[in-house]
Amino acid sequence: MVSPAGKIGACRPEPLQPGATGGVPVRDVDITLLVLSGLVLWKSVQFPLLRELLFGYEGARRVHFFSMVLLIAFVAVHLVMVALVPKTLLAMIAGRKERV
Amino acid sequence: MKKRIVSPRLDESSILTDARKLLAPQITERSRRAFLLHSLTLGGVAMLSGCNLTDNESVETALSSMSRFNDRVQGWLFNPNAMAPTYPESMITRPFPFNAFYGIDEAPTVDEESYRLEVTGMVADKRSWRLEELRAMAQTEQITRHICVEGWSAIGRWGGVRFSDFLKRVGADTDARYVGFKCADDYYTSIDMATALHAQTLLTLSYDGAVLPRQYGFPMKLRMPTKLGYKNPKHIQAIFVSNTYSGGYWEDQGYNWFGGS
Repeated sequence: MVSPAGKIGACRPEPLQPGATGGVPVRDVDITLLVLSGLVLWKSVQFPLLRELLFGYEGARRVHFFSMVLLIAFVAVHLVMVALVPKTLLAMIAGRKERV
Repeated sequence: MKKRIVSPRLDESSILTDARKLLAPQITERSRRAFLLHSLTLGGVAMLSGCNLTDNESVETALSSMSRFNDRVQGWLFNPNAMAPTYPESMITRPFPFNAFYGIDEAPTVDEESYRLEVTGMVADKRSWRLEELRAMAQTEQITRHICVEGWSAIGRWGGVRFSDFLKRVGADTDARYVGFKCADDYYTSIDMATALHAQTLLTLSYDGAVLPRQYGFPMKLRMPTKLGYKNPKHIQAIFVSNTYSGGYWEDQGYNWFGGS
């Protein structure tokens, strides 16, 4: 992952963006999958189409589990980053690069 | 001590510059120590999860009334007649798992000869039923998925009397709110009338073509593929129709009462 050359202190890595998700951040795809599979687990009878798209009830359970693991890893990495460099918290919340 | 004067117009950039001046030397010089300290704080917060709020009676009441409120909103949002999926015979889980709040050896043994199903509450005909009489009623079968709140699921084949047929036969007041069950293993639960009248709700007398075995709830269980496992009572001895909420074995310990799709 290459950060665009910026000013000193503008060290905010770009979100993980492989081409496989069509330019949409992996995080957003993950959270969407997490919510959709959660709906199937919660009300499997009420969301028949969604249930079939997510490989049935047991399939949705696995999708839910792995998207949860991914989200926890995402949070863990960011918590470590804040613990190491507290000021990055501001950039994470504001969602823009630091200007020094 | 000098009193701190806060200017009415706090300048964001000057605060940031000051904060950085304070933080920058710490980050560069003591980053490892800081990291360990921050990790300790995280650990401390994590330990809070060991605190138990629900020991308090009023907290318990508030949580359960919120859970019942959720049930009402969901009842309003979703279609109570939506059908649970059915499966081909080849997908049946073998062996179908046993599950209860006791071990398989402690499952109650009910004697068929002396067994009587008691029907009380808001019903026209309060007489007790023998198993033969139930077997004489129109039977149907279903291969559906049993979903447990523990996280597992299994597909089984159940047969018996459509519960709505039974309720009509005993002249139950279908405007009543609840149908409750008392079981031979001291389990008890109650369901909403909409689920009781659902086309797939089955007063189950057989499993996989044979008489319902002891471990699956002989002499009868209520099978609802639209609800989680703990809502499906086994070894039913009494059924009552009522407008009074009567909870359930797990529900009274905090499980969601509706417990289904």
